[in-house]
Amino acid sequence: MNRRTAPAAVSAALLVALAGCGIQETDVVEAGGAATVVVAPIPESRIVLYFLGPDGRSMPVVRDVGPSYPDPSSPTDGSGDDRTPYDGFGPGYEISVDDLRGSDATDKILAALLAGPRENETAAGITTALPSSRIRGAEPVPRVTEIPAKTDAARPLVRLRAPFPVNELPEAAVRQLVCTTAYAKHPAGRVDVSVGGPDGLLPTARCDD
Amino acid sequence: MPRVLLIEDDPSVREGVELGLRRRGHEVRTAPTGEAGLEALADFRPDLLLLDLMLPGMNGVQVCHRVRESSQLPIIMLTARGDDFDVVIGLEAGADDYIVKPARTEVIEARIRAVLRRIEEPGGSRSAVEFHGELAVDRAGLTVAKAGERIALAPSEMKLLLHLSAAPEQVFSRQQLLEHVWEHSYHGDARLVDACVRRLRNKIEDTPGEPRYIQTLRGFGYRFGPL
Amino acid sequence: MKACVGPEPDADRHEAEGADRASRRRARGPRLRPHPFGLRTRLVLAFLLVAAVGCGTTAALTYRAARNAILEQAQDTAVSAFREQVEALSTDLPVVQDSLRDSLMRIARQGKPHPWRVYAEYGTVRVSSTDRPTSSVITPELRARAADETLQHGSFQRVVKGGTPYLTIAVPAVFHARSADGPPQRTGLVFYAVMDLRAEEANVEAMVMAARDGALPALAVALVPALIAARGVLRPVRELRRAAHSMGRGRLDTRIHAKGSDELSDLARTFNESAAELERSVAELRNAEARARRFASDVSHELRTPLAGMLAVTEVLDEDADGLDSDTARAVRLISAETGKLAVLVEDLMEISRFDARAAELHTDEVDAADCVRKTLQHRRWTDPAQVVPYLTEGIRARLDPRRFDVVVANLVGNALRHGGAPVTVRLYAEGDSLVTEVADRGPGIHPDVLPHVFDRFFKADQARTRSAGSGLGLAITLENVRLHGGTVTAANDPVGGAVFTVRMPL
Repeated sequence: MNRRTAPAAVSAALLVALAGCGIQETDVVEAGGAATVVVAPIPESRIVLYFLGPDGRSMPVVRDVGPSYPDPSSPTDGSGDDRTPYDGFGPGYEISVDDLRGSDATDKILAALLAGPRENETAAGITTALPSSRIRGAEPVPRVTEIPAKTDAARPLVRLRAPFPVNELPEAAVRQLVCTTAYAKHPAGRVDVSVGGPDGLLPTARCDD
Repeated sequence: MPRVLLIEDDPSVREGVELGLRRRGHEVRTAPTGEAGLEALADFRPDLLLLDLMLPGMNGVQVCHRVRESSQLPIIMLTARGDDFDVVIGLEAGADDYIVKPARTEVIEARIRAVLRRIEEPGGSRSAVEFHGELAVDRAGLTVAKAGERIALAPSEMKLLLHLSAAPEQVFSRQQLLEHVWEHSYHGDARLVDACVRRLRNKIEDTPGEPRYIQTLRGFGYRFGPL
Repeated sequence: MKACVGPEPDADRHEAEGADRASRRRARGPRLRPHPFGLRTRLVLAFLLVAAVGCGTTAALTYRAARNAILEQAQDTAVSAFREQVEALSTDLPVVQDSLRDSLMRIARQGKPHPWRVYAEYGTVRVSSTDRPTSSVITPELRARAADETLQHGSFQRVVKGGTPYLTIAVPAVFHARSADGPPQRTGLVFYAVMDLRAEEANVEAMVMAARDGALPALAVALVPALIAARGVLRPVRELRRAAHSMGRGRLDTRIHAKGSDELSDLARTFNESAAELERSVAELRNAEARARRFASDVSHELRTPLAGMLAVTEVLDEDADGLDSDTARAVRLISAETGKLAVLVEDLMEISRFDARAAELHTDEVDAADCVRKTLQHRRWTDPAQVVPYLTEGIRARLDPRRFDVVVANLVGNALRHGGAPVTVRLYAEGDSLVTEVADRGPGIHPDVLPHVFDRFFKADQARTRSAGSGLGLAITLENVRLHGGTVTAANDPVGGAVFTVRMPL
């Protein structure tokens, strides 16, 4: 170290020492996993519909179909929404826990999805990318048929036939259909879903990709 | 012509000086050693002793001492310049003058004459004997007595005392004394004067450390008195 | 004497090395001035610098580690506590604002390690534990990260806003849609916590103060070993300098006490060895020189005795030469004349030998200077005003050796008469504290090339003339005599013409 570099080195060292003083800002730092929260009601008495948030991202909505409701077929419930029969689509579309037992439970859940977010959901900024059933009026609901797995290892394939063209659907809308169907069919959503419509068939998709 | 005894160990110097002096009419006896010289002294009865300082056996200073024990024979030392210390010792021992070797015969002879020359009387009208304190100086008889007791003075001492006492209280510089008493040049060796004054004081002063008769004037020279 | 013939009159002056050499040596005395940036200062500064860098680096590294530990602990505690709180939460989807606010209030009360403010965002819903629905401290980056579908992670960010450091934590909420077997699903609900870190900042600042308060005394303490080390290095250096100085003044037996085995003692040993070597060589040289001088002295001593015999009989030869046949007479006269010259030469050699052996003694007496010069001239029979013109200031009393002063004046005048031209003027006057004797001739002056050498022994200006009437030592003896008096003698050329020798001797 000669005479000229010595003071430079010292001042550099002091600078480093001084720069470390106090508390600095940081970038965003990852710290642990997300928090798993308990969502009411219990899984046995609820359905999960996949809508979209205001940012266009998936936002599931949990609806109670439990027996707490005094009369599942009564025209009004706690929210005061007017009800429509299950074959008519709309925000007030209702299904009861009993509906979930039948083989057509998935159809009903999909009908609820197509009926769109309810008012309280819309208030929180929840939207859907699927065609509104209201505008269409009375239309045939999507039909879901299950094709059993060929082997034990393979997932079951579910074919969903939508009553509207699917080729022009945005990706988010397709995902709404796929996820809602998957979790309706399987508690852990482990099914392959093939979405089709009057205009053709989309590639098979999964929700838990 | 004066009779000269030469004590010199070196044959060439001895012979050369003897030859030179004899040519000038001096009667010269030589001796190669101090011992032989002292023997010749009684026999030859010289007027003056030429004494080499560097002698084998008994050296010149010792010879000088021995001579002064019994006589006031004029002594001139032969010396080489540079033997300064020996010169001082020889002068203290009572030598009257010294000659630096090598020297021409005329120089040696001039010194011999100077030493032997009697102090000229300043004037015939003066009384023969002068009294200065306890000192009685007989200028004619060349004797000095202190409190009635005769003091033996070497020729140089006598001449110095006579010169100084002739003009009491007059200051003489050492150069002046060298010129008048020793007939040296002005630039001669002032140690001659100093040594002679010391010897003289030892003989005539009551306490040589505090001289009454031969007084020193620092930076100027010597004077006789005031008593 | 000296040959000093030169064609050109010149005003060149050559100072004979006399007392001025001694004064020059005195001027080169020990320089004991302090060094403002000397070895000591530099050593101490270097020590302090090293100590400062050491202290500073240690303090800085310790501080950083401790600060990071403090902050990490605070952050980890806060993040895990917050996640724990959030996980205990139960909610509807979509959220019910009032019940969510209640939950947030509950979480806000259990902030760890410090109270925090808690915010939740869901779609367009904004709920908080405070009266403001959202916090300005939370950055868009944190929001974007929390909202990312693929990265379901908690995250935090330190933000400094308005001088206050904050820890902002984002934890997205996930849930199991129908069964815990499936992958956790994004709920779209994100919880934020904002905690200020002023307590941590205070801790960190306390550490900085502690580091500073520790480092300054450490520097002060470092000064002590620095001074001790500087002393340890400087003592031998100082000793070395003293020794070197002492050697320079001619004390060649100077040695340094060399102990230990470090570089400085190596240096000291080397110095000692060199000094011993030098002393040995100088002693050898001195011995050789002394031998040479003794030889010259011995030779002249030995010559003196036969010369004494020869000189005593030259008169005999001179007187009897007339009676011999002419060839023998010439030979005899030649021997006589040369014997005389030889005697002078031997006398001068002896004189020079005594100066060389420092055996020459000064027998000073207080004399009248003008008298002295006058007697010299008279004694040499230089009384013809056509030859020598004295201008003597009367009444100057000087303390000098009359015999040596006589030699000085006689040599200078004799030299002027021999090599210069008559009339020779001799001036004597007092100037300040000096007695000045000036001998000037009317000759051609001294050639400038010759001027520096006129006082050299046996120096001949004209090489063709191998011998002059003098011994060739006259001016050298003059110089030595003047020096013995503590004076100087200079040779110069008068612009008007002729050489001027000036002798200055202290009064």
